[in-house]
Amino acid sequence: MKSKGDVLVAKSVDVVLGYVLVEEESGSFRGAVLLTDHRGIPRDFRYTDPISPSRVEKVLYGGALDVYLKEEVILGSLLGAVELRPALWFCRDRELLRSFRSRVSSPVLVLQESPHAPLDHVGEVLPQGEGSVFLVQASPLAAPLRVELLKEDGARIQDMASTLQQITETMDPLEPFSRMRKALQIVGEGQENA
Amino acid sequence: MNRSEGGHLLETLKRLFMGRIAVRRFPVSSGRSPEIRNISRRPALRGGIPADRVVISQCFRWRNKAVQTPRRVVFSEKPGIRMLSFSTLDADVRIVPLTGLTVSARNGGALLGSVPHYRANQLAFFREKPVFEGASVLALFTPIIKDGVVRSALDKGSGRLCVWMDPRTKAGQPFHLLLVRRLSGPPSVSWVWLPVSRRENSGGGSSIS
Repeated sequence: MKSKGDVLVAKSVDVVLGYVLVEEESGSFRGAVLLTDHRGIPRDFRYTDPISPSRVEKVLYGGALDVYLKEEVILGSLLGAVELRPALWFCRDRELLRSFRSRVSSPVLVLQESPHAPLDHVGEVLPQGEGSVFLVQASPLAAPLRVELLKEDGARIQDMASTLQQITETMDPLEPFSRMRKALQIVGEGQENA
Repeated sequence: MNRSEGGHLLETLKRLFMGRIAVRRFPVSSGRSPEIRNISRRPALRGGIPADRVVISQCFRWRNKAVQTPRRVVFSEKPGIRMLSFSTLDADVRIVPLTGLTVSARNGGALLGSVPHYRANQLAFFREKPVFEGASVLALFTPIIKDGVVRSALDKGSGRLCVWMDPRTKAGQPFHLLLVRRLSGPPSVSWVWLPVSRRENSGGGSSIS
């Protein structure tokens, strides 16, 4: 961001952020990927139709069904469909983290709300536990974000915190997940009515 | 009177009137001598080890190791292999279709255009509550790119602000949007836009006055 006097003006830098949502509800699996700019304006949005495995498929795949559907089928299809390459990827499901990271070249963050009080200053990074979970005070007007990433990417947490701080000036970094969930809900309602 | 009572009475009468008693002979025969038998006391020795039992022939070898009891190898000979005829056990092989577990990613750009951006009330995070003369701030939604807003609506159920953005906007200046209630005159609320200042985002606290 650059300032004009005392007012913030968005940079023209064309940063792309990637959001992935994969979820299971009542035995049905579905997912979506949303690419936005630094203001949260959509650049691309893809979603999958719900997949409901049959009883035979549940027996044959056993405990691997959940992982297979979420990682191989849904995540693989979504990432294969997008053409832009985000600088940073966000997801909600920490169980996707390793598989997700192995498919993309940019860091993947599990981004969540935290119940903590705001940290002392914006940009502050507070490690939690063993070093792959951090609290990041990205915005002066919000609780710190809970950020989890692979240990291999842990050394880059300051760079990622800086990027998060920049984008919170023009958007709420968690908000696109709400939009994706709403869009999937609309898709589901449309299929039920069809 | 039975026979034994009659005999006893007859003996008694003989002793009383004839003065004599019957003398009976009890012959001692050689057959009454004890029989002496030659009994062999040599004990029969029997093995105390129970016979090995074959449970199933598949136990003959287990991972190339002989199956053994503590004493000796159970199977010292190759088990007999018998062949069963399966000619009558033909079965139909059916295909379970697993192709249902594939999916393709659909383009939902148009769909997402109808979904608003959401902003939660962030007023609680202001260290210095914004103050307006003659009015109080009810809610603060931020950041919003004001010049890209097509329309907005307050979701009274969740308290979130729904903002529909123009996807082609080039605008980039973030604003706070405040919901303000006027204290004087008839009760009314209004919306106020305030640009986000550099000082707020540098972490120095926030105030609106």
